[in-house]
Amino acid sequence: MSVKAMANPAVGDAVPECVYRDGAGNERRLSELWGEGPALIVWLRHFG
Amino acid sequence: MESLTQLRERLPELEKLNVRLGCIVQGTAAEAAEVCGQYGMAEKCIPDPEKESYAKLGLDRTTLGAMVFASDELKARRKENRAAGFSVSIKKSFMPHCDIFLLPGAALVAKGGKILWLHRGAHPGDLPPADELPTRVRQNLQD
Repeated sequence: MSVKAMANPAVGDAVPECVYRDGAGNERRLSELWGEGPALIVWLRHFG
Repeated sequence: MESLTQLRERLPELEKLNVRLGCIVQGTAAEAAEVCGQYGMAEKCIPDPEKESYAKLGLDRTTLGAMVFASDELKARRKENRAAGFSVSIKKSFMPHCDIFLLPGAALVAKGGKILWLHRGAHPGDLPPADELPTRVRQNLQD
């Protein structure tokens, strides 16, 4: 199923895609988390 | 980090449910490895130094007052964190990529990317308790 990502998404929308660099400097995609099954994503506060 | 300790304790249940956990943090990969590694969670942390995903999800920022006068939920998380051997670190709070006012959030995402459940924090302690997350996952995966 294809779902369209949008700003300020709601339930039923696609979670926004993001690209990031891992510890080895490789480009990774957030969508790798849910590529093979469901994922629980938590956006944490600051490191303290 | 008030939530990583509690999330770590829920990993076995989430893995039984075949749900991958990803913890997005406000720092570079090196910073995430250093800080999250102290909690045994380095492999679960995803670096977002520019806070791009926070913005795309529409997470809000809080006020200084809400930080100083912590909510009961935030106090409870801090207490649990101290019991596990960790405490709030002012030094880490002000690491270069950290925005202390940025609020937390959580989402359960189906295979393919559709949001099944979404929570945007309204104050600094406003994340569902980690021990409730497996139940929420079960409920939403069944719907």
